[in-house]
Amino acid sequence: MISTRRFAAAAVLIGAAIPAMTCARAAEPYRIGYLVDASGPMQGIFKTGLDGFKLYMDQVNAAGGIHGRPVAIDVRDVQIDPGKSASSAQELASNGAIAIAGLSLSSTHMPVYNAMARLKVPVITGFPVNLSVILPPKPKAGVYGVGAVVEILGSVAGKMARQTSPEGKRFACTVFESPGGIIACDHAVAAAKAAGFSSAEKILFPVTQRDFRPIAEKIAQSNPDVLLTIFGRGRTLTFFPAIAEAGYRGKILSAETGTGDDELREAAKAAPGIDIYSYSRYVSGGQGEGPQVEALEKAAHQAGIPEVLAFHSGGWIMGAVIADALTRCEQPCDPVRLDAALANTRIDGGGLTREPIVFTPTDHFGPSSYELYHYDRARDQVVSTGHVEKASSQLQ
Amino acid sequence: MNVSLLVSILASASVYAALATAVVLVYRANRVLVFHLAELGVLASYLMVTLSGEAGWSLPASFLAALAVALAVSVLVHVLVDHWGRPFGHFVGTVLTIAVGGILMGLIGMIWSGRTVRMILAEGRTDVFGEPISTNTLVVMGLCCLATVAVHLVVNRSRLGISMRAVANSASLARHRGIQVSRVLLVVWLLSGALGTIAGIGMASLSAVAMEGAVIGVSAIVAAILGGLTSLGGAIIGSILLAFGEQMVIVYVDPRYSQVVPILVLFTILVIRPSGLSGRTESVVRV
Repeated sequence: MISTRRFAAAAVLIGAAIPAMTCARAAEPYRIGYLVDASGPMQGIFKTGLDGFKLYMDQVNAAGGIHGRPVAIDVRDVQIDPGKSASSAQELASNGAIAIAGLSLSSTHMPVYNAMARLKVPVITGFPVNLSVILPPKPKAGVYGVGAVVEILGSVAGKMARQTSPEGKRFACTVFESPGGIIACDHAVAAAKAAGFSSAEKILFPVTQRDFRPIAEKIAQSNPDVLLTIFGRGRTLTFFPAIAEAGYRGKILSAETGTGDDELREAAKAAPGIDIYSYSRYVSGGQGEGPQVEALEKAAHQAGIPEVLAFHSGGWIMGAVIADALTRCEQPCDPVRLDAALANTRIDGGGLTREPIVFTPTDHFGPSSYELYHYDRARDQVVSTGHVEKASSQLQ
Repeated sequence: MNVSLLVSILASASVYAALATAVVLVYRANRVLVFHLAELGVLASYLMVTLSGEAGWSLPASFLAALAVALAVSVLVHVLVDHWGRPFGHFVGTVLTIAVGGILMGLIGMIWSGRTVRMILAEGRTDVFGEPISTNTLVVMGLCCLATVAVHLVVNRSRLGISMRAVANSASLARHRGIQVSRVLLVVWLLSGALGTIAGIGMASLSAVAMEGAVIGVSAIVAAILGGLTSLGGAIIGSILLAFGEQMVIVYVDPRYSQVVPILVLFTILVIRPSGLSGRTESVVRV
């Protein structure tokens, strides 16, 4: 028989435990799985996007989280391995991730999309590139993108090339060999021809290539008026000096796919005689104006990040999109309800990007716009030319 | 073919030759095929660029510091392969070098997070047959050629070299003749480490300091095999042929297929002439 004293003690303990359990339950975080190349050949690009994403979520958590719950980011280093990406996404989903964000090289995307479609967990692909399966009229269920769809990125490049060289006849696109890169170059070549370039070619190279001297020789021999580079980070620094060394004196148009203004400036200084442009969906530090620009600058400064790059902005906006969807998600929020919230997204870029981020049930990418920048040698700065290309999510 | 492309080929060949000579040197001494030398070179180049850039050291001082670290790693690998691994055979030694390469890359990734950094040894241009060529490229070529020739002279023209060749022929016989085999093996590892360091720094200066710089390890091993694996001269010829093949494919065919060249060359040589271009194995008649 239980004595009155023991019963009272147990009642006190249970009474104390119930609020504690309730609090623990209330504070249970929303788990976001994040796939990134943190140690492979593309880490220079993707880790910075993660930094931007973390900065945003740190701000959300510091303000008390969403519906009183913090947002936890479970990061998995998948390098550029499609199999590892899919299995890591599955592992994250089985451990309670409500969505998968980030992702690595374009070749890793489809395996993750397919694996998460089976589990009905939404995927939000980050900056720099997304595949066109998110475009209207029938986007892949549960997959969204806040970066740049490779077809659109390429098409915009063709038009931008004409801006940089109104009289140019020859156009070339060079990119490392990845599905996204090849598609982007194909569209750039087609758009350049449509813009009046009489010849346009694409030059692909292996993803691990770092010695660009012979490739630069090849390009210098064909001597295009405008050379589009879709390199991400790390390659520009090596390629620009090599192509200058090979005697090329045309114009380079660098697609901002993770390169960063800091690398562009350093590479440009090592490539005298070449006129260098870049174009980007997201702004870098000092380029834009708006509340999100200020908030990101402040958060980056506090985190000791020396310069805000475009892919910090992309990561930050991805954080804003997910936080917004979690806020609107019908409670108790689960992956299916989060997907429903994501499919009705409209958030302002706050100066980080010109167009708002808009997702609808039939369009998981929305309108986007791209600004043309020029490297000013005298000031050692990347400055806006003022030219903007708007793109709808409808492929031409 | 213009002068600039020719110099580019020769610069790559000189880097491959230094690395391939290092591979041959170790293989001749203990029949271990080394796979970690390119990674060692990448480590050295990251150290050098960090010391000369962030720490403000001079290029020669940062080079010597990077070389010292690479040599220390080489001593460790020597102990690992020649002392701990020897009872298990040459194959285990080879596998150990692969493991060391993996560990080095992991370490580099942790410390430098895969950053790509430029490292120029010499600024400006030099006129070569009427064409301005990067002085940096010529300096890299010079350094790699100098290092390779120096090692060839040590092996072929010194008492130490005779000891190396004796050990290569038969370690037990060399020991009976009073040669300190362990000391000779240590020197072999140190020389190969030094060559790997110079090749790694050379390639980093030609392209950039990057983790991907380790891909030259495959080319160097193929060049060594192409040359017969035991012939130092063959390694140089193999390096020139391989660099020529790779760059011709990039410029005149398609850059995507350049990485297939070493594999194709390896396959072809194994089918047509398994003993390599030199067509001989090392034999020492008298010490």
